[in-house]
Amino acid sequence: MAFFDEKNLYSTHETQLKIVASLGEPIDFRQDPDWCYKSSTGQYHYEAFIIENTIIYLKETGRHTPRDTKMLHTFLQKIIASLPSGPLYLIDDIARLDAGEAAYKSKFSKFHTAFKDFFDHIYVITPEAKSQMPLNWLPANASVSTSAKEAYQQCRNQQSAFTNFKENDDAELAKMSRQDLIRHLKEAQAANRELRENNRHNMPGHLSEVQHQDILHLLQVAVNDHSTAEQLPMSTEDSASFLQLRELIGHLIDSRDQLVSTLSSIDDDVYVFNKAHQLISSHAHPEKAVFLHNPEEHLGIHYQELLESAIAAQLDVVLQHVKNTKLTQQFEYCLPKTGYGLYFKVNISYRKDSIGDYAGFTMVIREITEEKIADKKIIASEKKYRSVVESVREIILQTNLQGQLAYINPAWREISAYDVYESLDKSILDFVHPADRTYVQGLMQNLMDSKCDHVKQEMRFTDKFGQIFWVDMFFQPYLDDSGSITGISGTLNDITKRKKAEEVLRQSNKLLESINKNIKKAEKKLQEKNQELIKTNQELDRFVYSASHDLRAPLASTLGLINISRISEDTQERTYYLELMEQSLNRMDKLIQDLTDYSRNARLAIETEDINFEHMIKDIFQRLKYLKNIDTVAVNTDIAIASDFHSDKIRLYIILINLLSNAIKYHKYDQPKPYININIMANAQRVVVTVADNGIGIDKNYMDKIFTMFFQVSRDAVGSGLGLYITRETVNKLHGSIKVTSVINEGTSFTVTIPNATSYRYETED
Amino acid sequence: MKKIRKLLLIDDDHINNIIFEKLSGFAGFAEEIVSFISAVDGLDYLKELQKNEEEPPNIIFLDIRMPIVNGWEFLERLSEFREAYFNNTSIYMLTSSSDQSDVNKAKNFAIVNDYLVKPMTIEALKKLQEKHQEQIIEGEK
Repeated sequence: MAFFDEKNLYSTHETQLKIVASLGEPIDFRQDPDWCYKSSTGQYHYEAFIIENTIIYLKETGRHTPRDTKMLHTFLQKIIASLPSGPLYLIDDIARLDAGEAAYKSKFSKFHTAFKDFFDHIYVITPEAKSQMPLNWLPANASVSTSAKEAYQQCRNQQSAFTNFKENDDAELAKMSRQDLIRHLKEAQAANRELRENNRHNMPGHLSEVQHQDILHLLQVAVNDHSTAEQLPMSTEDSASFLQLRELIGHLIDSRDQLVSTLSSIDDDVYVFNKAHQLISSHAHPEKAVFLHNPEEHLGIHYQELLESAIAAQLDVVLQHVKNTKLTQQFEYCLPKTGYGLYFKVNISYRKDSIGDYAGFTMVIREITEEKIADKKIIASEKKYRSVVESVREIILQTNLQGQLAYINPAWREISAYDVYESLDKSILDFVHPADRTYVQGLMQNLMDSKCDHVKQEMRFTDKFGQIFWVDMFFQPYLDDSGSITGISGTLNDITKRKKAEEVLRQSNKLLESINKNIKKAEKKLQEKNQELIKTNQELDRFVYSASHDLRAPLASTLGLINISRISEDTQERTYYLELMEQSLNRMDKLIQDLTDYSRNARLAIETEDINFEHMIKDIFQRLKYLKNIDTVAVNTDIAIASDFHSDKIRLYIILINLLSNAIKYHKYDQPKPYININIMANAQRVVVTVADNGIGIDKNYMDKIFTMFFQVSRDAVGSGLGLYITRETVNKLHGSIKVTSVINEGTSFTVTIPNATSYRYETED
Repeated sequence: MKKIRKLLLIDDDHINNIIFEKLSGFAGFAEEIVSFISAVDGLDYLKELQKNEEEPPNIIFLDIRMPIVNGWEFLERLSEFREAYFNNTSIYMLTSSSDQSDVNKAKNFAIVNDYLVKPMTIEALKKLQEKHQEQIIEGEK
């Protein structure tokens, strides 16, 4: 008892609506669970409209999943059961053919095959544009209509019982009493019932179905019959056969039940086809039946009729292969859907009969949509991960337990110039700088031995061209799913530029340090030089003071002598003054000579040459011959030259002339044998010159002063106070040494040692 | 003009002493000249005079640059034993050095009267003699 409010039908069949409404029994079935069925997702629902007890208009207001088919089936059965018996028509507005024939066929095979037997005729609503499609796969009692209105009209044409009513005959309707209306309806319903009854028996497919059902029923009776042979109303022979048959059927039913219970425990749908490829047995999980619902109703049907064309076509090919190889084959099938679609794995296995001939095949179907989606997600995430790993600039690697590279990303090539393929399976150690190999090996061993959980180290590697590159190495153990170490995974970050910069910095620092050191050295030298300069300045001051005084003194004397010479009239006296003048000027001359020697020693570079001591001594005495008393002193010369002696001739001359002139000037002439002993001994290394006399000697109080500038023990006409100072300076210049021993009133001995320039190198001074 | 009674001359250059004696003779500068070429000998002489209370020199002419003990050291050593006995003795530096540092140094010695640069002349001696007239007369009293 229901009515419709579907707009299409409402406008077209207002009259019927009004009749139903006037019965005073309106039901908004959308609020009634009996007439409204919601899909398992809760999102979509079907609405069923029943028109005049004979037409069910099924409207889909959403989409449903295959799992909902079973529930819809139950729902429809419930509706049909509530209707009075009679012909039944279905206006199917569930799956409009706007999705294409294949999609419709898929849906039809899952849905309509389950219902087609309920109805005398099914009108499939399809848009006009597609009405020309060759829908030859539709069951015999189905036809295509372009709209609900058309379907309804067709339906009405078949319904003779409803001819009493004229469409849109409002005036007539209005005149009718409630009694009349009810009567009309009842008549119509009765006609309906009759028509449906007739239809059922007139449809050939149904007849055989009924017969089949009858046989099954009889067998069921036989099995459930617990009568003994005696109780059966048949002959003994017959009853024996019957009992045998019953036992046999009993076994068969047992084994079938066993099989069914086994099949029930698995999720897969199992279909068994015979040699003629007709369905002979099936097991479809009630919740998960994929292609066929109530497949028991399709027994004997060829798979090509049973399955939608796409999968049937695939099956054709695979089946041929199975027949040829006698092996089980698999294929996957995708049911197109928005989103991911539905995926199935179809397993086809070869069946053979008792003598090994081909006996058909078994088809096992499993929905693998979720696995597929998971797979796709894994592949997508793997792809994403790969693309990240392949594009990063950091080297990412993985090795096995032996340290051989199992994976390394393309960044490796960028940095090392080695191709990835030529590096794989090689030990990572092969690429470590040879000097660091043992060390890295130790680190890796520690990781493998779980002695540490990671290592982080700056490390040198060698690239394909033998160039060193620096990396920041991060290694950690690579664990498999069970948590055991199967190798090493890690990253290498190129830090060569940083290292180079550090190196440059270090070098610069080193340079700076050495420059600093040099500066400090130079500073120290400068300070020393400054001190030296200060000393030299003071010395120079003293020198200028002394020299100017000593130069001026004889000059002043001479001027004084000139003064008194003017006054004096005595010629003899004047001659005496002239002698004194000469003395003064000689003294001055000697000073100037000494200053020249001093300057020469300080200024001139050392120039060495072969020295002939005998000639030199001779020259010196030639020059000293005007000295007073020179003829009264005995000069003994002893020269022993073991090797050529080279030195600076001018300097050597200065040294010797000073020592000898001192020996002559400060001799003691009031004794019988005044002497001067000159001893010269030269070898390859040096010369030792000794000048010894038995002269006045030197007071020991003055011994440490005799070599200082302008120091004089006594002033005589020819002393300048520079002689020994110049002597020592010159000896120093020649890197020699001078020693003096003296006893007052007994004599003095000077010993000078000078290196032989044949073996001694004078470094040029800065 | 009255002559300086007694004059002490200390200069290591004997030529200078000869010149001074000759000039003094021409100028009628001093009655008695005692000269030494060693400062040490000069000091010994003065010590001896003081010890024996003999007549002190009225003027001492002192050279600066001399070996062993120079003019400055002479002054220091003299100060060590000098008594009122030498109050009327004037000391003149007589040197060939015209160095300003020497001139300044001489001023630091209170007992030095003046600084004279060689060569000595008759004119210079006469001025000095004039300057000392009062002192000479005073000494005679």
